[in-house]
Amino acid sequence: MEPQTQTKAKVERSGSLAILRFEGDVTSASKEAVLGTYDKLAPETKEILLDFSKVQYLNSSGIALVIQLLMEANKSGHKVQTFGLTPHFQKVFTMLGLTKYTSLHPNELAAKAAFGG
Amino acid sequence: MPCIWRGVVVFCFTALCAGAQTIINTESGPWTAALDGRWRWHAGEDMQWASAAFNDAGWSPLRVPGPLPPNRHYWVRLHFQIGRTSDPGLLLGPIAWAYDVFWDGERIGSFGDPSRLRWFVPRWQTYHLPTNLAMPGSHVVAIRVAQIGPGVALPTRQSRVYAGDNRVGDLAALYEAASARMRADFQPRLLNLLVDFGFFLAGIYFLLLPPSVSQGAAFRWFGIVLLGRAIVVMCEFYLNYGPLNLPGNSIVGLLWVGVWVSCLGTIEFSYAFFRRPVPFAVRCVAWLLATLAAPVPFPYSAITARLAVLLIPAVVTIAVAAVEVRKRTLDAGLTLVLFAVLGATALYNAVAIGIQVTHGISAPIAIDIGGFWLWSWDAMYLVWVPAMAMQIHKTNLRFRDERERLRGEMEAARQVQELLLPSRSIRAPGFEIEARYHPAAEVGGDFFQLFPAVSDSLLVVVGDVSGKGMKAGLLVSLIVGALRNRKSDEPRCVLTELNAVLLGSSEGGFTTCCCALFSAETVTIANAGHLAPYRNGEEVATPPGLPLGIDADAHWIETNIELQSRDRLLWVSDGVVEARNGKRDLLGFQRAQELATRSAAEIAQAAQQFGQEDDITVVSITRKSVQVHVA
Repeated sequence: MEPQTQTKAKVERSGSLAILRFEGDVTSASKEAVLGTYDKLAPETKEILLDFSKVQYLNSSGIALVIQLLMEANKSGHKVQTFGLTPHFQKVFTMLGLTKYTSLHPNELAAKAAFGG
Repeated sequence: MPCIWRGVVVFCFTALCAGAQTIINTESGPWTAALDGRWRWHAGEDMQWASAAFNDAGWSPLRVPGPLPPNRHYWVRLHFQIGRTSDPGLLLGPIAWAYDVFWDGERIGSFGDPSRLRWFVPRWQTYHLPTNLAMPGSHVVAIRVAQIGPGVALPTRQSRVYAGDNRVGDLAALYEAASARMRADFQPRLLNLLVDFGFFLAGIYFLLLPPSVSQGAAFRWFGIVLLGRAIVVMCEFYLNYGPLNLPGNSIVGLLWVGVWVSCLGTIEFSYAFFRRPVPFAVRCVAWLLATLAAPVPFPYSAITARLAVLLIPAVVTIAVAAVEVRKRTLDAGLTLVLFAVLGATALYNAVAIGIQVTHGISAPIAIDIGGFWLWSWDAMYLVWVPAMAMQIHKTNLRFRDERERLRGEMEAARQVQELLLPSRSIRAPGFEIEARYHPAAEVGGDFFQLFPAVSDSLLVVVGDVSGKGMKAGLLVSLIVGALRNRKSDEPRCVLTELNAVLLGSSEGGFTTCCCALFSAETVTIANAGHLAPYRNGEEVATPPGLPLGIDADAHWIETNIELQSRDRLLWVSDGVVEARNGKRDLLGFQRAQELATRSAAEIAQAAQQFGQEDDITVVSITRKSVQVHVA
């Protein structure tokens, strides 16, 4: 079994928009990077952009963390757009029905545009 | 008459020598004679004191044997007569850390360098005398002494002036005498050397303990302490018996590295032993004291060195052990006793060496065992090393028992899961069934269930609990139990029932699940986020659906497909599509589809060979007998 790379998460803010940029593998060890980062978002955050362009691999436990983030965001009324997923994980996210909570975009520009005005 | 005058001259010369005349062998041939006469000393520095003509009658007498002058710089002088010798020499015992030797005012050698403060540990040293200087008759030896040694309270030889140590005579005989003295000095230390070599090997052993050993960090620190001790001992032996190439000043730096390692390693060890982090303040104070102890000037460094080497860590570790005893930590009592032994030894050595250095009162710091010495702190380590080895053995046994128990429990869980999951040879009328299940750990999170029913119908449930191991395995048991008690065979109803069961049990995870009900002509499929099945190698389009255990209001849409005879539906778990090779590439959906026409065994094997990371499940259902019409 290959060693997993540690997940890093960086937050960029622009008004009510927060961009969560993830890096590395997203696994069960990524709880702090995924949910911890989400929990620390500023209260004025309304839109969230999830950037997976530097993520090569998400296992089922890692996807479970993303699902929890999406559910929390949905409850809190945050709009979430996602970009940068590899075609493989775009398909996985679609199969899992996560497009109910977030749209998948090929790049950041398209994802930002999806927030509209 | 001339004889009378000659007698008067001899008498006057003898009187001039102020009674310092030494009885000297006057025979020819290989001989040596002890310079045990009336040595005189005087504090200070004056090169005129080297002169044979200098009158030292007012100098203080130096007792042989007896204590050396307490001063840092002083001279000693001795008047004597010698007879004839063909190859004359002078042997001086371990009188000082550095000195220059003058024979009738001529410098004939030195030990270290008193001017540049370069020193050696005192030892027996032979000096060659030019024949023209050592003519039969009266002579004066003057020694310019600098007691500039480090005063490290380690078993290095201390400076002394003993009867018989200082000799004059034939050079070859003096060499022999010096060798005999060094051998006699070395012999009692043999046991010490052997014991310390044993500690060195034990240190290597502790240091190389495999990571699986319980409390491995603590034992590795103990190994470092022993290796630090080995460095100290190695330096001590070099200082005492090594060649006089490197002055002691150079060696003592390395010796202090060993002292540091022993001191600080003991503190790290004691905290690691109780699985506690070393408090920052304790570490700072220990480093500071151990560092400050080194440059303290002679003779007080003897005490500070001892404090640094043993007393500081002893106090810290006794305190740590005492705290753990109060907390009733396992084995703390035994450890407290061990650290008490260490503390007592350290305290005794500190006091003994301190008294010896400051007051000249000798206290035994070594145990005499049949003519061999065992230093008290080596005796202390002789208690420690077996105790630590026993501790390792005991914790290993405990760890092994625990590991065996866990292995047994995991094996039992695996057997239970095997009973819960269908066997490979399951049969259902009208279907050819082939399945492969390879959990990534003993217990897996994948599952599949087949429920043959009347009228050639068959309910197939394939799923995957997120995560692996025992937790996922227990959820699988819950799911299988719920499936066996299901109220309906309709796929969307089965998913709804399972969702209700899993909602309170998933703890942030989820379960993907695909249900398919094979009836006479059709297959009804409902998919909760699982990989869609392949029909004859082509992926069946199923509507996306949330996994189970996330949303109480989730619902799933059913898809109906028709199968002809020999049509085959194949399910794989994400362990197949997300198998990863050494380059971290995924097997992926494309390769999975290319494999989808092969047997379940071949697909599972291909995924395993690609690089298994997750549970691998492959279930293949082929309709045998029913002629099916495409809708």
